Amino acid sequence: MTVDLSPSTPLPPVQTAISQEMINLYAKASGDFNPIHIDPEFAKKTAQGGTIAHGMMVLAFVNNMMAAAFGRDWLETGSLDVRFRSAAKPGDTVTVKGEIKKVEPGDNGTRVRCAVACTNQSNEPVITGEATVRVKA
Amino acid sequence: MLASFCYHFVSPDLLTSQTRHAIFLPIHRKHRYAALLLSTSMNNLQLQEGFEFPPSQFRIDAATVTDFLQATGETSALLKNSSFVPPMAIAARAIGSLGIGSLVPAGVIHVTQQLEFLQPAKTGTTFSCHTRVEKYVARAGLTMITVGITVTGDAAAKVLIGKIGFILPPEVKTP
Repeated sequence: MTVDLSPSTPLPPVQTAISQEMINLYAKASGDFNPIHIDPEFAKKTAQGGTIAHGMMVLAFVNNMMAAAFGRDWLETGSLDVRFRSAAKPGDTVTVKGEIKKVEPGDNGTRVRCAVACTNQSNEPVITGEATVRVKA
Repeated sequence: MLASFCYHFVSPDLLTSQTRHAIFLPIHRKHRYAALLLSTSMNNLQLQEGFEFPPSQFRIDAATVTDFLQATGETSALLKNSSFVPPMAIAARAIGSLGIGSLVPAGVIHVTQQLEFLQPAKTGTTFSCHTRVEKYVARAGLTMITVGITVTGDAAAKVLIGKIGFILPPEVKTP
């Protein structure tokens, strides 16, 4: 664990540039081959005007931030509760930020609630929500 | 190819729960055909609350984990050099196996996501995903569904639970 467990502590941000290659690889790894993600010709005719990243792929960036901050505790006890606000597209750079909101000590470790948010390069929200982890003593 | 052909032309009505289960066993691109089959079921207006999707199974090997880590820009040694499957990779595969996106391509909007990681799993594990429609609300021309997922690993141990919120486009009729 690399963060100070106090309310208002920011988590180290994570920034990721999205490429079509990443989206294609994510489709392969997830088994989600919806053409809106991987077929530029199909996607061009949709309201999005082009391919978009899987929402779960962008959510994985939040996971990366939490894993970097809380290590194995995150992988074993983490939870996410988020809303997808807008789509991320190839060429976008997504920044994930987080901040500790509440720290609740308990018998099975300290429960840490964090506000999390992903924004694109125009500072538009892509994902907002909360991540919770139980940090063992 | 033959297998794919068969998947397309098997009527869902002819499938027992066991054969549905068997169809969901294939891994990789065959999931897509399973998804098409599933979408047929969903178009038959079975999305009411309580509807349980046929269980799906998938195996996550080291190569899939490598693809996932590259796709998501994950570089931490915690996952990169370990035998653990990233929990988000399990979630991704579980959601991918549902084929929700194939229901109405480009029309379904994934709006909310809850996930809870219960315990780590190792590469090579075969996971089972159990999915149930928990909420179905049709209002003002929009249909919102919340789907609950439970993923189990070895020895049926729960590794992940979650809820996925979707908005279906107006052309998907309500029951």
